[in-house]
Amino acid sequence: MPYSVPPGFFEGITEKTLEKARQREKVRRKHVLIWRSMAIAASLTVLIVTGYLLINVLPKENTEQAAQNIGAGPQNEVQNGELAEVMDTLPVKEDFDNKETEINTVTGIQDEDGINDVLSSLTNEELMELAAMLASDMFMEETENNLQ
Amino acid sequence: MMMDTYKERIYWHIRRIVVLHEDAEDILQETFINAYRFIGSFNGKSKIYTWLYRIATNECIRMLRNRKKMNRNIEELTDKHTLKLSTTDMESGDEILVKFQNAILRLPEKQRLVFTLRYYDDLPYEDICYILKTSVNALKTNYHYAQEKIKEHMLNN
Repeated sequence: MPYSVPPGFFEGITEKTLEKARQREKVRRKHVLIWRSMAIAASLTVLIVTGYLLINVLPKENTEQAAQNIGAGPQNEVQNGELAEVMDTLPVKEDFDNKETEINTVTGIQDEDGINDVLSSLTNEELMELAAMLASDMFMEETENNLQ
Repeated sequence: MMMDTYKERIYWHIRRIVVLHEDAEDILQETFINAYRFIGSFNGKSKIYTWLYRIATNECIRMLRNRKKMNRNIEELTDKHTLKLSTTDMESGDEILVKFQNAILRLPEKQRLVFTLRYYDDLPYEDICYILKTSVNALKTNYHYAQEKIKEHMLNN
């Protein structure tokens, strides 16, 4: 072979290689340790920041938002004057009572007039039949009692 | 110990490919460091020395490709190796061997690897197949072309 090696090269190469391997392993472990520490630090930071945001910032923001919506939101605001107008237009209990009395009075008058009209239009025979029915039919009797 | 058994054989294989002693030493160390590191992945289907040859050859190829990228001109790199071989490493009466080695250095990468493994290390084609991940037929063809080119170089120079 046209190649030559330095004297004693093969005797020392095993130790040299093992030493190199040991050093490399040390460096590798150091890198792993650094990366792990960085990963743990990053995870803790994320956890702390998330916790802080959840506990302090977000609820405050929500409360402020809600307060804004309720209090001074220009779109949802009803002016006091407008509210009073609206309230005035709404019916109250007395209105309903009066209305009921009115309805009862009107219907009572109408009923009475209607019955008189019907009775006047009936012939004597028909009136006799009605009287007979009144005497025989218990429901008619009840209706009569109710009317009285 | 694995290194004590195979270091010389692997060293000479590396040296024939990369030429320079410093490069060969680095690659030899890398080879055994990787071998110790990945010994768990060695499944025992091949012989331990072919596995070591494979690691060493891959390291050599990696280094040569890096050098080629840096130097760009392959011819320039080969000339540099040849010059180094004929000045510092030459021993008296080895002129023909230097010429022969120069011829090997001028071969394309694949042919050079096949020729070195077959001619110097006397490995069977089956083992070279495992080392270079090539078929036997391709290896035989490469070896044949390498022989022809070396013959031509020896006769013409």
